[in-house]
Amino acid sequence: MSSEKLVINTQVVGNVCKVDFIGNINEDADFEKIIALKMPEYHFNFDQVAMINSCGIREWISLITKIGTQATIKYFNCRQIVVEQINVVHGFITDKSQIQTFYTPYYCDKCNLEKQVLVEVKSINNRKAPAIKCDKCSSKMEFDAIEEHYFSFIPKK
Amino acid sequence: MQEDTQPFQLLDALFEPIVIIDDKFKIIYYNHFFSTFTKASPRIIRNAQTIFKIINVEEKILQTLLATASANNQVALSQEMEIKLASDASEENLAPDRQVHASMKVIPLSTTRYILCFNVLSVEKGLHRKYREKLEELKRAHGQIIQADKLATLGELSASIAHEINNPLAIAMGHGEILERVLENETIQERELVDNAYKNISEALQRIKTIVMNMKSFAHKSEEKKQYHDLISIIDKSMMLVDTPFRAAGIDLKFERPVDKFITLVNRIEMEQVIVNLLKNALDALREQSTISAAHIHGIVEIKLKKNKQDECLEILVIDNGPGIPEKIQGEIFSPFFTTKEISEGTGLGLSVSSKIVEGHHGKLQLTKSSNEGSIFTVQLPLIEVSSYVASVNALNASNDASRKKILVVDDEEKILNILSTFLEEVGHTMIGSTDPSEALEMMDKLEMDLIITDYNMPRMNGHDFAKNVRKKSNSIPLIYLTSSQFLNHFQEDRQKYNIAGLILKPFSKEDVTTIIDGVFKEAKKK
Repeated sequence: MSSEKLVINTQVVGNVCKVDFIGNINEDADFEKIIALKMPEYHFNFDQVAMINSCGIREWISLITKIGTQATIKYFNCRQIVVEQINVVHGFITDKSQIQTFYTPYYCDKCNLEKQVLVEVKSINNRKAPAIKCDKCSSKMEFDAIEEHYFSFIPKK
Repeated sequence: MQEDTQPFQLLDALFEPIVIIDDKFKIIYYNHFFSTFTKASPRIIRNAQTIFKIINVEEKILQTLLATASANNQVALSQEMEIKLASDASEENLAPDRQVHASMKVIPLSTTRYILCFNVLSVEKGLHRKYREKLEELKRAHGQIIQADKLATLGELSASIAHEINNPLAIAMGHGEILERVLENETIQERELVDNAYKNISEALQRIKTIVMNMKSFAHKSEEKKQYHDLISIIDKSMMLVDTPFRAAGIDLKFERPVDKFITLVNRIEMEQVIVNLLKNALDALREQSTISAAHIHGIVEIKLKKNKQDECLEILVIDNGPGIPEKIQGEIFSPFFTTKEISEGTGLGLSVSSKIVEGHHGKLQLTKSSNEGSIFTVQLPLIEVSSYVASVNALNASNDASRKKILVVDDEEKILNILSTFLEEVGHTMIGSTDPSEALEMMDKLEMDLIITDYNMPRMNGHDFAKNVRKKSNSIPLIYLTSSQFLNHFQEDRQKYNIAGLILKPFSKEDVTTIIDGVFKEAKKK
């Protein structure tokens, strides 16, 4: 297991607390700082999360349980590893905690290039990956995961 | 994966990573979690010729598993192993998340197809490693706290000890001067004076040596090893350490010395630390009482030692006639750093550390009584047979060695028990010690022994009667006499009657003991 300890940076502006997570969300993750702030709204940024394991998920669910009843929670820049956990673990998404933006994996066969594309949840229709063109050759990129599974956290319209 | 895979789509609902392969290791189907687990997108899996392009497992291992599953038509399970997920990176540069700790299960689906399930154990393995590291850290910290408490105690006693050393030093110096004057005369007519002076010097120096050695051994960081000790000698030693401050304060320190020995399995230095802590607390309480109370109460601290048959334990009672401990703080006195003294006068660790030490001996330290007429602290320790039994069970559980034998040794001398314990441990056996033949017979009902070694000449029940009682319980258990040549005739009489399998004569060496025991086990095996 990676030993990179989770760093949590918080910025409070008005009623919103922006939280950046950097590193590994695992059994050593300590979210007390977030709980102690008691803000009405949290924006969680997962852009720099390297890894999340089953112990980290337990800590996460405990955090959501403690702050989720009073606060509105929005998830931003969810990395693929986070999306994969959101799809299998109950408690990540609740009435008061929703994903706003997340990364989707794409691949260009011609250029042999992989790319993580940031998309908004509201832009996804019927759990279908949006069409993305390769930056290099402009050809259509292949969605590099199982659609049905990857977008399962999004309710069907 | 061109063929109809619809029947397998149910596997997508499962949380375990599952892949179906054929006998050429080609991937037929995989569930969603297999893609997540291997971090391989559908594109990569589609293009993989075999499963080895996705997970880097030795082909030989997987081949063996498939063969086993196929031959028996049942599930084959692999050992836990490190599984590398296929990556372009070299082994040294492999990212941590590209290596998982897991086991594989192979389920035969048909003669040519197999289901592979993975049980991912990386998190458990990591947690276990962290748990062990934290446990070692705690043990070290605990050892440091015990040592700190000991040194603090020694620091508090040092002023009195220094004073105590001064007295015999002064005596030695005084008599030394006498000797010098007498010897200057060269006639040595005062022979008696010289002899007397020499004797006093020698005794005084011996006393200093004992005081210093007691301090050194008390301050020494004790090893974890427990040995058989007589609690009476431990109490005597502890009393010596606090004797000076007690006398200086005019407080009587008494010990109702029992007639019989009270041998049990303990760490001597740790037990001394416990008793010294209790005596110091009693002393402090009585000193405080004498400063604040107008009525002069002569302070007395008494130690009693007894056997509690009902609870199968030994009890050390430290009784004082001090002011007692207020009821509102009685629940807190064993908490770390709790103290009623000023900051420079106490660490608040004494009772907490003592309590932990006694618990480490599978015993209990309690405040059994407290009123304005005094307090009683009770240290309960398991009987020698019980503590020996617990130690042996722990040793047996820690060892997978089936040849490790359980040997009951009955002798009223702790030195013999300790020597035999060392010899038997060195050759890989587990010893349960007992000083009381009656208790030893009861122990036989609790734990199946492989061999019994008994002293012949014991106060309450000799070897002959013990052997008779052993044979009432079991005819098969080998029995060895341990005795001096003085009692050889008894061995001859009992050998046939009670089937005594061997004889160890005192004094004995390790080789004597191990040769005889090996011989007895060999004979027993033949039967």
